[in-house]
Amino acid sequence: MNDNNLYTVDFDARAKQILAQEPLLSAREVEVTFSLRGKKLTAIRRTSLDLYEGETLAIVGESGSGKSVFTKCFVGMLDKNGSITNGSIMYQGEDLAQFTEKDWLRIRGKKIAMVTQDPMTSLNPLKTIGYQIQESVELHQGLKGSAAKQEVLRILEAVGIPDPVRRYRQYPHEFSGGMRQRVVIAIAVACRPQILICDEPTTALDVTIQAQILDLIRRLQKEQNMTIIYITHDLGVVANVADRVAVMYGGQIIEIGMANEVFFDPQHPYTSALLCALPQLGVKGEKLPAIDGTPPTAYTKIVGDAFAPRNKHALNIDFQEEPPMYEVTGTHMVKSWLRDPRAPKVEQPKAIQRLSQISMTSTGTDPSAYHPHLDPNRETLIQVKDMQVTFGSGRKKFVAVDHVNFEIYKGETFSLVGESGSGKTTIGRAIVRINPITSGEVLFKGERVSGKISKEMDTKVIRSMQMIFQDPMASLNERAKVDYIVSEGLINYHLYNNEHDRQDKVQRALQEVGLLPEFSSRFPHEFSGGQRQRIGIARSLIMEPQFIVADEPISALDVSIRAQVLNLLNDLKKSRGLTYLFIAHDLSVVRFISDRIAVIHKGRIVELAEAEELFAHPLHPYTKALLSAVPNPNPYVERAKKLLVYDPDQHHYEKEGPEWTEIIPGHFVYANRPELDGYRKEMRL
Amino acid sequence: MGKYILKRCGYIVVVFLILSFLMYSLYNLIPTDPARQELEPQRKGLKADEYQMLYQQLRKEMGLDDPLVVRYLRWMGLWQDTDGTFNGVLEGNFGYSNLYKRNVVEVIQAPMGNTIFINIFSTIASLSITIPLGIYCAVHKGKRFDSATQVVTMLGYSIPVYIIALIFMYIFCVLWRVFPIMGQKTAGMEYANSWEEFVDMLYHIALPVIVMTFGSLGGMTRYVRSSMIDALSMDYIRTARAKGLKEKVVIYSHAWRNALLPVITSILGWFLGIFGGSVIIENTFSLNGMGKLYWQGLNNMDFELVLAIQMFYSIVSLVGSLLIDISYGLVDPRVRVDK
Repeated sequence: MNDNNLYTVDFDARAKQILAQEPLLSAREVEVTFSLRGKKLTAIRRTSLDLYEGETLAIVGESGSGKSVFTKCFVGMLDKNGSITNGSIMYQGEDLAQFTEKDWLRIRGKKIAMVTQDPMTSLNPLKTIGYQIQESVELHQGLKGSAAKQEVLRILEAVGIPDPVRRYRQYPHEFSGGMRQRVVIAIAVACRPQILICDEPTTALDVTIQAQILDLIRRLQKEQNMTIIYITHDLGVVANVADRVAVMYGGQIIEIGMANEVFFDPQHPYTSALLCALPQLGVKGEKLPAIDGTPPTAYTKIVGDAFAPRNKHALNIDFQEEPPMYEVTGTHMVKSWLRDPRAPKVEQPKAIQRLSQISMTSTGTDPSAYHPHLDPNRETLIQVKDMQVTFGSGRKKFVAVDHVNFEIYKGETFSLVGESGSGKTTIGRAIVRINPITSGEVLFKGERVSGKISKEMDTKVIRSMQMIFQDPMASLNERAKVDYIVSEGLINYHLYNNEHDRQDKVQRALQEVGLLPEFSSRFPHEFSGGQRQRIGIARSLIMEPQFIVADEPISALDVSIRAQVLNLLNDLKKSRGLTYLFIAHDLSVVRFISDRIAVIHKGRIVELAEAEELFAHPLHPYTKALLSAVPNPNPYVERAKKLLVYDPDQHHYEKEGPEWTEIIPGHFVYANRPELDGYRKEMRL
Repeated sequence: MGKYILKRCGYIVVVFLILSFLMYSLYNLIPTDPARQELEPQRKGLKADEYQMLYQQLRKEMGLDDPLVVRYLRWMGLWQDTDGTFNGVLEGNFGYSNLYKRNVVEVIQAPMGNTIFINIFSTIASLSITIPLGIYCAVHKGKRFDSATQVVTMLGYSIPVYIIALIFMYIFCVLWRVFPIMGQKTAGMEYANSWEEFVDMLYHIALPVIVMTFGSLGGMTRYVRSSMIDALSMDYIRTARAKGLKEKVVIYSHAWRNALLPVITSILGWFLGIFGGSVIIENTFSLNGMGKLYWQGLNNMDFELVLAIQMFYSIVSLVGSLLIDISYGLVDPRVRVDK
């Protein structure tokens, strides 16, 4: 599937190539200001960037770092209240910063095109796919009528959409997310642009689809000789695609260099902290080195180094004066006082050293860690027996969860991994009794908690099983104070003696999740995403549960915040003896946090094993495909990886049906007999 | 799509039956009945017990003593009438107007034509003003013209239509004398041909149409504006701009149809509002329309006339909602039903 020479990379040769060229696009001292309700907000603070022909540059940053705003300047698509207030962007002898809307019509879409983030919303729902691509073809290539249509069909084929003639007439809602992103890409490349800006092109997609899309962009880049700017927060994606990496923070590029330089020898404390906070580099059972605090926004007043307030080892000068750009090598530049001759020498942290050694099969594990499922006296907390959940009825019946069996032992973190629509959230919701189950049963400490149960039992179960929700921005009532949000469960079940006792409990819960007690009188909108997720965790903790379903608790959070929340969850597990059902799509996070992992595909658990065992010996072809697609932060490993594709038709279940089998103790797989034989051979049993 | 429409038509029939029964029962609460209306002229010449006897007899003859359901079915034309025939709404007989001493169908014809004519005029007029105006304001959001329009539409929105009517009458009929103050045709005028008659009618209904249009401008303009602003902030508009399309193409080819979706749904309520509003307008301008007829019917307790008009309004809203749903499917491929 992969054209191998697309992937092997010699960064030194690329660096030489780049240094020999004149930049294709050159942004100098760009400053972007927005006016909002009479206030002036500086989103980009005088930053510079050179782009070279044929390269892939990744711009990495958290939300609010200005990465999107900065690149929007290159296509003249700043929001109406924003403007470039300083600097120049030279492209083909013209200064894009001075362009009027009329000038932009010559460049935008034609020379510089853009692929936007969310494929579900970036296509017009009322126009056919064909029309939307043809519009671009007719506008920029001057083709009309059937010639234009032929070109559209060719492009559809080129971006890997099968049956283009039929697809041409279809509407966006008839396409899946990955297919829609292919269409968005088709629109962008239809006019053969010189520069393609991809703004988080795969963030909204599943990992296997993500890998395919990245592959597609890489192929198109080679075919059409495009220069590509990737904007992303995902370091795995960066490792996969980038020749050069620029790290943005607080509206400035703080470090830029070849991918190998930035990944293996990060110079800015922020870059290094960001890499260290990756769960792939964490040691299981130990804390992830998280970055405290939250990234600055346009409202923050920045003095000196923007990262200084969150940097534990910040120098005095970091708080006073903005550092200049220091040159590390010909291609590697960093904006940090640490490069000043007077600054103390800092050694690269252990995690960064680990980065060059990691591969898919090994990760740091604390050998003394306690694994509840290996304990001979293990206690089964949750038992799911033959659970089936269906939605709708009759012809519209949809089986979301199909005969699922597993056990969760007290004190462990059990993870459910699957792609969107696989039914993982439905299982979590069914266990905490939000969704009714169609057949099968759920046992909690040996007692049935599914279906009709007594009122006392219901109260007891709700108290001991709580849920943490995915999107902290949407899961808190904006009109209620934190005090009420956190104690709503207490109020419902009268679990407090008097008002004083209730407030006391709220304050203790807030402190436990690392928030200040005085926050209880504030409203949710005053908090950042990470803090809001802490409020969500406090809300579930106050009921003193034994079991928590954490439904993608970190996927909506910024990279530097994720580590904080993961650490918090692990700390609470130790201090409270909690048991988690952790639902996620990000395998690298799951590997770091969980004891055992179940892989779910289309409502069925296809494989279940201890975390390390699963990564070492994946058996089911779907698990293998999923694992092969997981981004790895080591650029060499990531680029050399071979992508596997799972085709459900490869099983021959019509002859002999599959069964849920324990192939070795603790490792379950859903397979039929011939497959099991094959798996045993694979494991040399 | 055809099956879907058939299904919807089936629903309409059921809803209509339920609605008409409820209405029939409600209007039966009016403290009078056709028998009493019939006897009213002779009442003075009769003694009390004679009157009572005649009244009871007449009630029996007219079938008024039968149960409500039977009377309803008879009125609908699903039950034998007292003379043994089926003669009801389904056969085209809406009853007899005691006020006008004619069949309801005859009474209702001319006013219905007038009302539909006026309403269609003002609907077209206000849509062709509000939609472009709303779009323009959305595109130029926050500019001076937009702010000014916001103020004017707010005024139009908050002033009741009868006040607007009076103000307009004062300006156009009293101060400037451009339009006639009331009625539908020039008094005592002989027309050479029907064209002349039509033109005279247009001249007379101009002011009512202007008033109705003005009264409905506010809400609709604001609605179009806000849904257009929503549409323009969508991701696919960004995609369209990134393609390098001109802003005009972005607005008219991509944003506008999407902005239309919520507008379509609101048109129904608004359309009915115009019909309802015409009760006031028709009275103010002394137009011979359904609104005025309804009002007169209610005042004179003309039970079957009022019921017929009520049924007309129900049918307008039921068919209207079907039309809205069908047109929604035409505009939005996502709700198109293929089965």
